[in-house]
Amino acid sequence: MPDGTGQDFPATVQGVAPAMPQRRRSQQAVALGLLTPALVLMTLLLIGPVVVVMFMSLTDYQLGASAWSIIGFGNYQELFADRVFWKSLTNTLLYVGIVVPASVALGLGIALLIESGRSLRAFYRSVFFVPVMATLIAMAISWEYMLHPQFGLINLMLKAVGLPARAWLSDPALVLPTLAVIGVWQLFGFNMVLFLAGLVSIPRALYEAAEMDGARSAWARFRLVTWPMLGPVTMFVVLISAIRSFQVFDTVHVLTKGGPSKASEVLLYTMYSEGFEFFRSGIAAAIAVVFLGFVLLLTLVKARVLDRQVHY
Amino acid sequence: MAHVRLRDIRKSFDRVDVLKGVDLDIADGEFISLVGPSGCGKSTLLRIIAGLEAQTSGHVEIGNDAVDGVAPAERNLAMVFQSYALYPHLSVFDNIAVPLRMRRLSTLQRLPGLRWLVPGTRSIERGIREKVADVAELLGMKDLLARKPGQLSGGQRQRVAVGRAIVREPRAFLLDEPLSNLDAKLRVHMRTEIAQLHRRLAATFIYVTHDQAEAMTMSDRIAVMMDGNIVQIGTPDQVYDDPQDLRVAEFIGSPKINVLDAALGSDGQLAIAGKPLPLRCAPGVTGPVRLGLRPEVLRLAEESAALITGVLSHRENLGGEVLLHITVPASKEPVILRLDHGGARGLALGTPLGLTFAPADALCFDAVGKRAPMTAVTAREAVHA
Repeated sequence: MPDGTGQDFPATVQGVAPAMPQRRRSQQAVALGLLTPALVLMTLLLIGPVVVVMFMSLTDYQLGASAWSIIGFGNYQELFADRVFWKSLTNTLLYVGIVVPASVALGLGIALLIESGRSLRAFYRSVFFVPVMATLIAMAISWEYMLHPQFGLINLMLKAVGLPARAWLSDPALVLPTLAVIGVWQLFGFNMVLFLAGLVSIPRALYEAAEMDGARSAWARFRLVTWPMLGPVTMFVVLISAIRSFQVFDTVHVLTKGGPSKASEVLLYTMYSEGFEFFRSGIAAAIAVVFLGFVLLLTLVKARVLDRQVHY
Repeated sequence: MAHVRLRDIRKSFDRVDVLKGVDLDIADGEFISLVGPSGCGKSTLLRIIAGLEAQTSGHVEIGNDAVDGVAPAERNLAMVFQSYALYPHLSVFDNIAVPLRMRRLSTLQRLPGLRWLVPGTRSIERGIREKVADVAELLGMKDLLARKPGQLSGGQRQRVAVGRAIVREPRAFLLDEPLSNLDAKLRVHMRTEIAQLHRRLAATFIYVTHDQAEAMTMSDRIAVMMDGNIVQIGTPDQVYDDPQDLRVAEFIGSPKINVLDAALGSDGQLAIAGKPLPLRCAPGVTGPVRLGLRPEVLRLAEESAALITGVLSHRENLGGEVLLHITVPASKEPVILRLDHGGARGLALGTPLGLTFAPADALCFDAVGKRAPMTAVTAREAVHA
């Protein structure tokens, strides 16, 4: 408490006063010193690579090549003229469009069910959280067996109840929805846990007030209390789900490799094949920049618009 | 508006009996306070009336309808919560409008966007707006209607909670310690405001508080609760002047009533610290008895005329009045004596003091704390004794 000391010993105040700017300077130096490790790491591991990727997207660099030159926006021109890129982008957006609403709705629904139930809460919580903790590559292989056209569990079950079997992963119309179902399966448990935490923090008195105010049905109480009070959590869940489903790669790589005929080609998979199968690092970098743009956009949307609306 | 009738209400949580058979009749338009120390079951009783808690046994009747097992929303009561329980995402206007919207609009008419396509929504909303404006006018918060609860002070939030309760005409108002989150000054102010509101609405108010001052200042009647029972019901004056139980006497009144151990003579005459008092207990009362003396019935007296003697141990100057703490042999705690402004000036700590009181002002309690009847001993008898 520097101020308190000054008041306790007025005689020393005159001596202390000129020292103040010096002290402030030394405080700034300490602050800077404490920030340095984080700054260095951020620059080295995050900002640096991003800048490098951005720069690389302006070159014709190929992995392993000894010579390269700056070609401006050539990579982007090539990319935007490429049908596969547009297919990949629309597939990714479609995937996000299915997975985000479904995993958020399912996560919220199951959280509400668990919260309203009395017994086995911990059991249900763990069961639905297992897919989140499991390694997706391994899980994708299990899914591959389950989805096998001839002896997959799912087709066998369909046949048992008299429904036609489907080629889940080789039918161009079905492959993306099938991958999306796996994405939902993997994601909703995480959303459920976040919603459960949000539900616990809603004061009970609000539900009681709602009942006294005439909210007779569970739906009326949900609309009046639960949904608005979960606003911040929902915002966060939607954003995290969107970013995570934008990053879909493992299941595509293991199950379909983007096929059949590019029907399950997604942004990260296109980037991977351009960069590490065709060694066209410049193009891959351009895709990475486009991808970064989308993630940045999502973050901005959260920061600018929705944060204000759900904050109280 | 309606009367409320409780018959033999019992409530147990996991074998702990919180309410042990409460009977209570609350008249139409009455302001009744349920008062008692924390854990006495007063809030549980209120929540049972509201329907937020189900009684283990017993019956609740509102108006002439039995409401056992009826959902809170169907009981047509309004409640002000201790935490106010305002909807944080809604403006003050919307908070007050909620009870009207819930009752007057259908589910479809409450859906955002779509609601305006349903016939009738517009005119109902207009009615709601007028009603909310009336309430805001009544409570003096017209300028606050657009704000969110988070932007309001504690007193303003409390007022919004009251507004939400009075915006429709419920059969009774339930208030659960509504002032306990306010600072002392605001609490005194809101006390008056709620009492005035009750007079204006002429509605049934059931008010739960642990603060005996709130109960005393606002209520038509006070129900003092102890350990899951109502120990005494009466007007504030009855409960203060004529407590039927030592716990009631100790709970009501500030500073607390002085309680002195008294000896019971064979003829029923009382004595304190060996000094006989001009008081006699009715036959049948057995000792040990205790004597309750309110701080304002005690007077300073010459030592020769004193009924109790002691030593001044502390003096509290409250400005308008002075409280003297006097250590006496008959009580572990010092006896407190209230004097008017400027009394006992110049009395040093440690001064021996004599105390006296009018025999009719003393309250006698038997061994289990029940009030014991008492008569004054006439002067001749006293000499004889």
